[in-house]
Amino acid sequence: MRKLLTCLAGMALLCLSALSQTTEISGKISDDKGNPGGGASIQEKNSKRGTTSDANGLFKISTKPGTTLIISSVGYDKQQVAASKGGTMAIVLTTSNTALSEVVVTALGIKREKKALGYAVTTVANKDIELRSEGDIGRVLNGKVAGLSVLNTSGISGSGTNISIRGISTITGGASTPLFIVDNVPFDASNNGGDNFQYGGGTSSSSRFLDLDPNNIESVSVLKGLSAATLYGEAGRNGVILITTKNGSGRKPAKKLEITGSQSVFANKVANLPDYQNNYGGGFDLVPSAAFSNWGPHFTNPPAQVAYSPSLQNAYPDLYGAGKTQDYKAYNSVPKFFRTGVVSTSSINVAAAGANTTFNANYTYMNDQGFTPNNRVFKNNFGMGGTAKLSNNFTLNAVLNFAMTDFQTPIVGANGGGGGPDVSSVFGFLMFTPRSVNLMGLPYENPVTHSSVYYRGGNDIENPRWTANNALSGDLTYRTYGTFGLKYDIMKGLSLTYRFGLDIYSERQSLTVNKGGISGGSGYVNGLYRTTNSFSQLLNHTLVANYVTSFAKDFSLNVDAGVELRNTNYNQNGLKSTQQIVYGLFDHSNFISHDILSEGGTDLDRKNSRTTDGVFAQASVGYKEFAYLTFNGRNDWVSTLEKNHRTLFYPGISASFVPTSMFEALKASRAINYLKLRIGYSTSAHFPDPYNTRASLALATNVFVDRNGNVVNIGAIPNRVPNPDLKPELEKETEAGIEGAFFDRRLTLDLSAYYRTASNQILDRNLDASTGSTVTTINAGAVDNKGIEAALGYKFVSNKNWTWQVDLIYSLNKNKVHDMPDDIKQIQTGGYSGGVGTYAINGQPLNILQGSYVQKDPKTGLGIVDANGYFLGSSGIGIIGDPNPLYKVTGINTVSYKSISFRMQWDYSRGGMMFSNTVRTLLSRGLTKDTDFDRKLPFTIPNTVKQDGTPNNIQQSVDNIYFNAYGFGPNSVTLWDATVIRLREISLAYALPQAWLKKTPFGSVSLSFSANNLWYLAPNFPKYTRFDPESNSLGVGNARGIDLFAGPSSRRMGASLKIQF
Amino acid sequence: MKIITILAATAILLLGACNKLNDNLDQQLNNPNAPTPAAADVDLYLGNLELNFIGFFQGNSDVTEPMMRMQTMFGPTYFNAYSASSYDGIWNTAYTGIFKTANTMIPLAVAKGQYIHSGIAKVLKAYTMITLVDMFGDVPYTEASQGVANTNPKVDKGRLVYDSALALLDAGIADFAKTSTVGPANDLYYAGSKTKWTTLAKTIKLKAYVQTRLVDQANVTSKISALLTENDLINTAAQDFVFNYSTKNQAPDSRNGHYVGNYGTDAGAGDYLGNQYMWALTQEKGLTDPRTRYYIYRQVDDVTTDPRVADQTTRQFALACYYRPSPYPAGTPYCLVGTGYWGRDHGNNEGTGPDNLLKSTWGLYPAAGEFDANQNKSVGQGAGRAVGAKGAGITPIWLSSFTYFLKAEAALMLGTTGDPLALTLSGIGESFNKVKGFNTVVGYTLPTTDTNFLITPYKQQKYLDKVTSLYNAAATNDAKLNVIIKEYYLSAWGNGVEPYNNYRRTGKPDNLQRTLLPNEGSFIRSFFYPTVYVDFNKNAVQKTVTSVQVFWDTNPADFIH
Repeated sequence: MRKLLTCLAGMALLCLSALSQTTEISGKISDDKGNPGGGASIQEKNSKRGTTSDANGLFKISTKPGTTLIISSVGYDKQQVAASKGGTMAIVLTTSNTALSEVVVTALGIKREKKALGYAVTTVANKDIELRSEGDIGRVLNGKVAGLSVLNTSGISGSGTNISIRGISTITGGASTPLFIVDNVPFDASNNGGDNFQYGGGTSSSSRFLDLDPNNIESVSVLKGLSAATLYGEAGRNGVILITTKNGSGRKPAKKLEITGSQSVFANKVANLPDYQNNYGGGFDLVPSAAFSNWGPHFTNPPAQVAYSPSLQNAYPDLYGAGKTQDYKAYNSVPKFFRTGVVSTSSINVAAAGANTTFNANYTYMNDQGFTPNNRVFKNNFGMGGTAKLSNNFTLNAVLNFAMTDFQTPIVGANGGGGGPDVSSVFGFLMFTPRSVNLMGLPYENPVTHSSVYYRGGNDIENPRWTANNALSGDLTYRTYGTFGLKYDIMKGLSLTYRFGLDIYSERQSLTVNKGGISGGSGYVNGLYRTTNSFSQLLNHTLVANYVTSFAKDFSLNVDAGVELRNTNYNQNGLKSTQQIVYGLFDHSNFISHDILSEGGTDLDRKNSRTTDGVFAQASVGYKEFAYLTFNGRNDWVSTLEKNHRTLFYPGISASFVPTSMFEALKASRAINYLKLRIGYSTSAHFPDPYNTRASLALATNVFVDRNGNVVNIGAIPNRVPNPDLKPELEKETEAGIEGAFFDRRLTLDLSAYYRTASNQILDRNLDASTGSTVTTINAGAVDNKGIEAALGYKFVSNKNWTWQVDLIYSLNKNKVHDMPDDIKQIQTGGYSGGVGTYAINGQPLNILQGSYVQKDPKTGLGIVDANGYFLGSSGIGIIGDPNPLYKVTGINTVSYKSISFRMQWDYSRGGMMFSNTVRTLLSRGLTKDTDFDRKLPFTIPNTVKQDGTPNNIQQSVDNIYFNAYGFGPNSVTLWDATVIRLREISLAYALPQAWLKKTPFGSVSLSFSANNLWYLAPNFPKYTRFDPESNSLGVGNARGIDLFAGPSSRRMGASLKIQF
Repeated sequence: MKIITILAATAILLLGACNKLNDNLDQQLNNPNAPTPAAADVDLYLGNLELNFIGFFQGNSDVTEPMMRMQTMFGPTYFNAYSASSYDGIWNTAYTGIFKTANTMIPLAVAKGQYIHSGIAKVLKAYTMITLVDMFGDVPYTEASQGVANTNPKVDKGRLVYDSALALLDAGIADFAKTSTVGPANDLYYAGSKTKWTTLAKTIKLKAYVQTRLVDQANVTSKISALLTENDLINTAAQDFVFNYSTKNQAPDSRNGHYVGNYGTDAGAGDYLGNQYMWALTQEKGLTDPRTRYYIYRQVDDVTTDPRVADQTTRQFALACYYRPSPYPAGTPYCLVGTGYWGRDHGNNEGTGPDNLLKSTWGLYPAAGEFDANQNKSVGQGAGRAVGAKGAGITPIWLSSFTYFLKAEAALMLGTTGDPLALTLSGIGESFNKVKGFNTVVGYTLPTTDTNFLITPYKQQKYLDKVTSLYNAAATNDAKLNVIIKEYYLSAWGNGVEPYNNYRRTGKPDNLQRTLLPNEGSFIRSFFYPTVYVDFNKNAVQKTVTSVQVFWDTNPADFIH
């Protein structure tokens, strides 16, 4: 008490003494480029008195001349100047380069000094994003952020992309795609695949962040933990990708008007075709035939004559009719099927600024041709934005972007690699084309009927070229998104910001299959046309008050409080028509039958809406610039839960401590330039999808038509049991980290460790049908994710001409399912029921792979073969592997000499098991060099025992063994470790020296050459299958580790030119 | 002052908005995509029940026909004939499609006095219960169908489920006896005839009693006698329990599944028919069964001369077995029956050759495919899609012929009334009549009037004479039973469920082809439990062997193969 009194008295004295001799001092603050430095803080040293500069950088303060003023502004070095009387003091701010005052954008667009944050934020600058060969921002970020995991569904241009941050916390809550915030407002990043993976759910439909233009991005901040994302509410629980576009950045160009144009051209090639053997052709048991398999005779021992298939003979009697023969040799068909696509991106950006205004406009056109025929993406992105500081304390900003994305691909459905694909699928019959089949040298369609013709005697499989030309899916999206913001500075330190966010798109998905195909059953072969038109709307209102002050002597306080109203609406109409009349025309009137169900049986007409209303607050207290404590919390009300369960409060606390600012000894240290320790505990919410709490009736019309023409309509109790008692889910996370710069800032380190628990999950619980239902949603089960994220940088060389920097980015995540109620055996999360699938099982990592497995001899532990010498499988399924990688490391090497810079990014992903139908089929059908052995010798499966425990000595022909062991054997036989090392990116950039440009109108000219996915090795897969495990046939979701002919990956290389006027 | 005004205004706005927001949240709770359960209607449930029922039956028939060599089991052993997930559809349909729908609609129907509806629901549910036991053995019943109140139902003994089903049949019969307010709007089986439904219920009882004769002989004998005395059983084709498909090929495809799978695309026939069955039709008796041309359609008359498979390379691949010696003892069919009955041997798991435009496939009866009048033509490649009777076939769930064969078995083995041979001959006669008149039923004009292909009274009589002589030549009851069940087998084309039951109960027909590989393992005496049950029910224990017997099967282990 006495201390306080003393303190107060002291302060009063100070004030009095100051008052006695004050005079008004005025000044103007500008940055190092001459722009006015608005919002800077001017503080008397050793006093509470201070002011802030206005939008023009002007300030006035009453003080004693000679008093030391401390000028500070976010992003600039703090400086001390002596107050001088008379005229306007000119103060030039210098941009700070040091980690000490690095400013990052945090939740709700709040800019904070990084040292004050008690959580991890990673920022990726535009130079690492723009001019890339990939138009998908998700794929561009791959490997660049610790803790961020990116997994392509396939190499198809425009196919869906999985992104997750810090592992997957939800068992059945859908894809863990982080929240995308573009220019401070939410952006829908979902994948509207609709049908399940078997119909190409994620491979044949795009993730909607494809609508973003990487060339229009100013910067990306990735908020990884709950502490960072809590203010965004439940939508931010999977982390946040915070994107500032050039239009929304409010950036002032160096000149009054700056025009930047860029052009990139890349070649897009298939990266990983198998190494096919060239000794044996199609057939079985060394007997030639038009088999799927490639176990026919040696090419040196060709059959007497090889006739053309009956379908080809019928279609072209003159060319390929009876008596005409073809050579029995290796045609190397598969590599020729693919093409080299051209990826071209043209972009222009205009930036302008006035004294109080900024303006930016951007247009980009991207034409991305896939390596698969008829796969392409066209993107048109147009946007503009600006800011205006008004004299009445209002600041206005607005951004409006328009995107048109047109994606088309031949159908890529799931494929078993056996006789027929589940659906029409371009890779289905392609990858295992027998060597002796001349795919590219012969016609693929009947010239009269346009129907598919191919090598099989019964013409029972679809020619992949026919598929590529006649069975296409695509989506065409028109999207408008943007924001309108108004900020009002009420008084010093207090401001109020209102922000309206808008994200509206219409997406037209279509599936067009001409009549004349073979695959997919009668619904496909007579022609199929499915269209869905969906309209998605995301509206967001945010009102935030910000109050900044300081108190006592060394304390600062920063408070943000606000409300958010968020509403999403999705409305889809669709129609499926079958039985095409005129070949080639896709219009519903050209089809005989019409249906409202998709091929997978889902209703093409559907709608849903959800509203989340939230209030939130965050208070940060700082002490002497080295210790910070932040409290935050949010309360939500949600429309997907019944009234009594619809609200949840979730708080958090975090702290940061900067020893290098506290201890004098450290301040001058050259060994430790900067050190920050941080720790945080935070929570977030998860609310269920709509319509899980109330019962409804499942109605289906036109299910059957009897002989008298009576239409049967049916009503059923849905197999999902509603749960009115469903509650929100609370997720908890503790994270701690160290950030530092050492040895004259040569070494930088950013290390985080986290432990996240999502318990009492909102869980879609599988039920045995004997209960009468198959699924219900309950609150149960928990998933823990714990992991380490590290970014380590070392600058080996840094001098006038040379820099050499190496960065290592490491992510490790382990997860575990626990606390599953006793009455739940397991939950299926993906894949095939009863076949290979992913599951949540108590005590196991999430999404563990289960499938049939080889029975093991209890004594020796060896696999058992049956009486015929083939693997003895299990009658049920069991755990066969964990698809989750152990860790991932990215190494980035940057070397620059003067204005030439060279960058190389290597990714290494260790562990994780993968079931691959592609590899399984290549082996079982004898296609790759892995099977290029003497096929006359009999074969016994090695390291196995017979059912009586004695060593297996049962001989079979080698093709029988391969066919039965791999092709039709237990799932566990075709499971491999997915460790992969990859040269992800390599680039060489050259900027023309400024001196050369002096007499030209150009501000800068730079040229770069780059390549993507240039080389990779998955050493644990059979060598010559050259399989790339970076794919996911299960589409965009949480399940991984299953390949069902998702297709090869893409390799891109090319050049970009960027010119600034 | 300015701040206070702004803050106050904000607070008032917020408070006012809060109530409105909460109402807005409430409005988003009901699913806009589906009606509320109050919209339910007994006829809508009945449609669901009847369609699920045929799905259930067909699912069972699809896995039992290969067991009985009517279609081909790939195998190569019994253990890997099917994965457990093959039965998921059967299980889901039984419990969610049939039991749940029946349980929901019965009280609704009773409340409205719609007793025909409730009776149908009880009969179909009872048939399903019996068949689940026949397929899997012990299955959940008393603890089943309780939703989230019991998420892991335990199994009941098969015997108990059978008894419950019999009681339910009696309850259904009692419902039919009541006066009903309104009949079904569209009953797909018996057009709302409660008389026929009653007859069916009693026939299912007969089936259940004969099925359990090994474990309960005295009891079932008296019960069978009572049923025979009343004789309100499916004795004529008009009472047959079949599902009728139509020719509608899209939106929705309402054709017979065998038609869709074999005629539905240009690709030709997908199924492999069993060589055993075609051999029994055409060769075993030394005369051709007159039903053969109705049952089976050959795409190639004579494999040995047809230009489509004349050259050795083509034939070698399409019909690889042709060039290999038979591993079977003499007198067993192998590879190709005659010159055109091209099926597949039991447990042949080789890759499938390009033979879908060549091999034999389902004929006119019951799939409504093509009648075989030596057309020598493929069903696909432009010829397909609307060939034959266009798929307006039937699924024969219970035919009058089946009743006679059961009566014959009961007379022979239990001494119930009637002469076993006469009853068998009546059964064959019923079957012949069914098949002969089928083209009229499905509105199809036969492609020929040549009596060489048709069932004629002369050929019918010759066939009956042959069976009579076989029966009379049979020395023992066991041998006589073999004759009866063989005829049952040959009349049951399109129904694998009853032959599979008969095989496990009687061990007949006693000469079925063994698997191609010598080591086939134990015959599937009951199927593995479905994946959806084993994977999601804590109390489920999967079988590890194929030799687990259902309660009414007290026959020795491995007495059948």
